[in-house]
Amino acid sequence: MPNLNHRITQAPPPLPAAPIEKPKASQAAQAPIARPNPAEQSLSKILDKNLLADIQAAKMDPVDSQVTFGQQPVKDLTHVTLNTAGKNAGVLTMTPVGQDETPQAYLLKGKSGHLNVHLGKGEYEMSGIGVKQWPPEAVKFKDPDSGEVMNGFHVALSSGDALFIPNGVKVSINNDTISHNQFNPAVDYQIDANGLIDQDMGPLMRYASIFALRD
Amino acid sequence: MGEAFVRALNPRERHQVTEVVLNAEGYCMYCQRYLKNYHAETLKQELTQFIQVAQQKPIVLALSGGKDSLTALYLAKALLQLEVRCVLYQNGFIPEHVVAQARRICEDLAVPFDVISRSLKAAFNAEYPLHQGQRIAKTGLDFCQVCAHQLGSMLVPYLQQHQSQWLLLGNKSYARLAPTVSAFKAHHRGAFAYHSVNLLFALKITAAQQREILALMKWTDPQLPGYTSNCLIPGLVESPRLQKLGVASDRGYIELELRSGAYTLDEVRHLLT
Repeated sequence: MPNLNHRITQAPPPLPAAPIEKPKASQAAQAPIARPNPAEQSLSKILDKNLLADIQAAKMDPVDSQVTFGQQPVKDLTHVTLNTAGKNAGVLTMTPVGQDETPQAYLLKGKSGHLNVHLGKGEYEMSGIGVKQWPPEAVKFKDPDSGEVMNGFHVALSSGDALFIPNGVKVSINNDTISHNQFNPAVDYQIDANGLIDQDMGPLMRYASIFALRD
Repeated sequence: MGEAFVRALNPRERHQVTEVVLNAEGYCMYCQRYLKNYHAETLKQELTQFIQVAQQKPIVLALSGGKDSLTALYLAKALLQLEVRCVLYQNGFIPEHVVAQARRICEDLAVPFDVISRSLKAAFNAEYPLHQGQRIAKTGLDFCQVCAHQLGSMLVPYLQQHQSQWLLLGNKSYARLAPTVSAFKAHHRGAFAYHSVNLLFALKITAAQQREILALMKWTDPQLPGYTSNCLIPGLVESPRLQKLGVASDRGYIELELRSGAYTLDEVRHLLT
């Protein structure tokens, strides 16, 4: 597992942008006044006037720049422990917690494909495509809250992997177990290109990802 | 907003939102983060920057054939005048009349339209087999994740083929909550980097506005099961997943759209009932 620490503070490379030639002032002065097409005219009756004005202003001022959105690391008090652990993202352990022994579905997106793990009553079975580290090695460790020895499994994650953590599941990274009250276990976490774990979306965002690509 | 959403769910599902903790004002933790991280000026700056940079650049729109992505297409072409081309991922569950309507609208707008296909039928039938005429869920896997993964693996080469680093999506909800609420997200696949844009959120398109825009396109409702999707899978798995896990995932999309301001609470209630 590569050490991802060195990437934490490095901003990803900006997107290369094709040069756009700005019209010279003299050209702009001679250019005919842009008239809205019929579709634009129809939209002008539907959309907010301020939005339309902002869009028109932006279109008239194309720039040759490199932009990046969404590169900032997540820093949220609710998830500070997980983010700290995420800097050392490597071996990750999951185990069911609580009294509810209802079988749960786990989804791990590994680089070699999807893994679907059906875990209930301390046992697991899996379907889908295997990865090199699969099936996961069963491990035992102590629950940090109760001290109880629990069964779980671990799998190595790399940058680009995504993990779905269902309700009632505890996660630890590099043996730094995170209590379920320090993070919401019902969300998707991503280990991004910086080695950071980025918690985004709500607990039910999974469905919204039909066209929302996961890193 | 949070409490209101909880009330909007039907009683059978209310127990599924036990992880949602409401504060004294009645907001769930996600709504709290949304409100805390929502900065209108930042969103405006990002949109302006996108429009400025995206002019004359090749843009790919991931078209599902549903109303959201078609609305995004119309706005990208007619409003933003972007050099957009569309790609539709046929997973085997997109009805042909949906594909045909998408093709017709692309032709009307003079937008190139491609279909890339990789059937998920075998994988779907293995996960949700028919048993005595009914679908059952073997594990309750959210199959939309499988589809999203397939789509992602196919879209990256498509973007590279067309030298595009901008992927437009039809989502009416935000792309990320932190550090600020945003319609944009950066993706990296090895050395290749691109941005995805939740265009309807970036433009703050409401469901009411969307209905009018769809009328401009002469869009007709394909009358499919499910709340939001033009794909048959959500309709097929809604009941089996609810039975297996107590989760009806289609509703999660609506939750995000409600939080993002696309729907009013009354509209959500209407959708769910």
